[in-house]
Amino acid sequence: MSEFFLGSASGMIAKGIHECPVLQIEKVARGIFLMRLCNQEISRRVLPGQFVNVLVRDEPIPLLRRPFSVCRTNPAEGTFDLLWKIYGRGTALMAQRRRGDHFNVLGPLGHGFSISPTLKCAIVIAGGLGVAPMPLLIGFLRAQGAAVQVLLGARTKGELWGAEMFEAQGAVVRLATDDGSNGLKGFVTALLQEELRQPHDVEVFACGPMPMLAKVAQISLEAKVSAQLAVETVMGCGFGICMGCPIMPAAGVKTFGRYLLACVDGPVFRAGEVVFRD
Amino acid sequence: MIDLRVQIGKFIFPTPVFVASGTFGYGEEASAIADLARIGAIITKSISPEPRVGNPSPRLFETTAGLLNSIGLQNVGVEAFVAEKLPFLRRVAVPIIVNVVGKVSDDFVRVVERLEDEDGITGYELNLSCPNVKEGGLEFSQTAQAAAALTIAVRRRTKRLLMPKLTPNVTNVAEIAMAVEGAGADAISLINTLTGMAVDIETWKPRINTVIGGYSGPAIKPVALAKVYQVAAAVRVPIVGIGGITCWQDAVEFFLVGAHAVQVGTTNFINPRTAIEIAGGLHDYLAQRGLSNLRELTGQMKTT
Repeated sequence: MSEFFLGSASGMIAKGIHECPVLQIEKVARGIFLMRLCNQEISRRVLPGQFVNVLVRDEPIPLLRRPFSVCRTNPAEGTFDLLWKIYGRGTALMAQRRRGDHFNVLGPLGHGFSISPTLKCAIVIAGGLGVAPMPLLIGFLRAQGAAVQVLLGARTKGELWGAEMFEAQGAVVRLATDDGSNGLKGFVTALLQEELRQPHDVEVFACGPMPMLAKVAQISLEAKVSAQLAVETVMGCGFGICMGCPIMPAAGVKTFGRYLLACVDGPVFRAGEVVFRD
Repeated sequence: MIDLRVQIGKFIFPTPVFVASGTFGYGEEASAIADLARIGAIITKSISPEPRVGNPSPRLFETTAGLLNSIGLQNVGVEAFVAEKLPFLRRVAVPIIVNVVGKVSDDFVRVVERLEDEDGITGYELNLSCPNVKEGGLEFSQTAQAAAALTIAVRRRTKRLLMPKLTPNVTNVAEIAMAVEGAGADAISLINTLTGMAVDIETWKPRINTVIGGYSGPAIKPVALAKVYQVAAAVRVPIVGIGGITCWQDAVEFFLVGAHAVQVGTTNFINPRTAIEIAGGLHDYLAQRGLSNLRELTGQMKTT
């Protein structure tokens, strides 16, 4: 083969695309799985709120990669964890994989949370699978000595994950469930409303479904507290070429009228910057 | 000695494997992942005279081995393309074909006239056929007269490679192909997306915002092959085959039915190196068969 093609058909992997061995897959809550994958580069480079795009299998069904926030890392061992819930065929197939299998993973991708080195106090709020990026984020926050309060919401207690780990990371945890089976009965945003009732030098970090993010943004703006919110959305490519994940800037923002893309302009946006709507 | 270069119009491309419009952004987005200089040509996102906002979400829905989209031709417009996107592409040693779109014939002419004096552009692909926008393109691709009139209008403004991109959503694609060939096209690319839709049976709502969108991906490859085969029988200009190509074997099929080059589309979303990998695979295939040039494949399907 000529020089021109060396490293292409020979299967050499480009920067950013990695074959990652599966070290472990376990069911950690109702319909929710946690997987540990091995890759030095992702483990070392990924920042809180960034994501990876996972090829479920080589056959074109399902066709597209599936995006997942990196949940936590162990750079010393070169591993990273992904948390997901079974929504459809792709996520169900992923749950059937075992130790020793491989996933083709593209990433890390996107703009994650930005953490001010002077930040002293953080509120981390997650709804449902929005908990996925939080262990990595809380690790970074705690490493610089910030006090962290975690507000964790799910539909029911069987779908809550992470509370004990966050406490072990040194965070204070409050819970909410839609059915009241654990913690406050109602939406987790009610806990945020309570926490922000008193003026408070704090920054809010959020991830969850769009209606929750819209509410978090509204509460934070009213309390004049800075908030960074990670959106969960369908993506085609994850790196800006398909333009399939539009996010509209908020009215009054300079770029209003021109869509941003969740994958490259986000997935983390600031409250007031964009419209959080499906 | 294997030679993958392919001549289309007056221009010689380094490989016959290009990346399709709307599936590779403006190139720069993929540059951290793929070595753009090893792609046969980059066909840009459709460029219109003015910026286009595009459609609200949901813009994508995955089907069985396929993808529905309604991006809505979101693009920065020709001025911002020249100021913000073209300088990067010029620095990469890769042929650039600008895909041009508009609502009326004059829109296409305006974009081409604006780009004519800019260096680093090999040619223009005319988007006659994007079916997912309620206004735009549709009419040009639907009749031979409209497609030919537009091709003539642009042809008058440029000596660069001119390549109308045809829709499969017509009764007789060969008739449209003959019309644009007669109007001065240097090459013809096909197929653009099929029309398609899907419905959510829980909410009873359409899966994408425009209800009907563009359907692409591996599922449409047999349709694309048939259209390329029909057009190849009808015209003499080179054909650039598009539709569901994921690997070099798919590309070989397109050559055998009459393509001179191919474009990789939806698969770029999964692996933006696919066009490079396919070129490598074609190289090895020719070597194994004792062939030296893709011309020995083009149109060589045996029907007896």
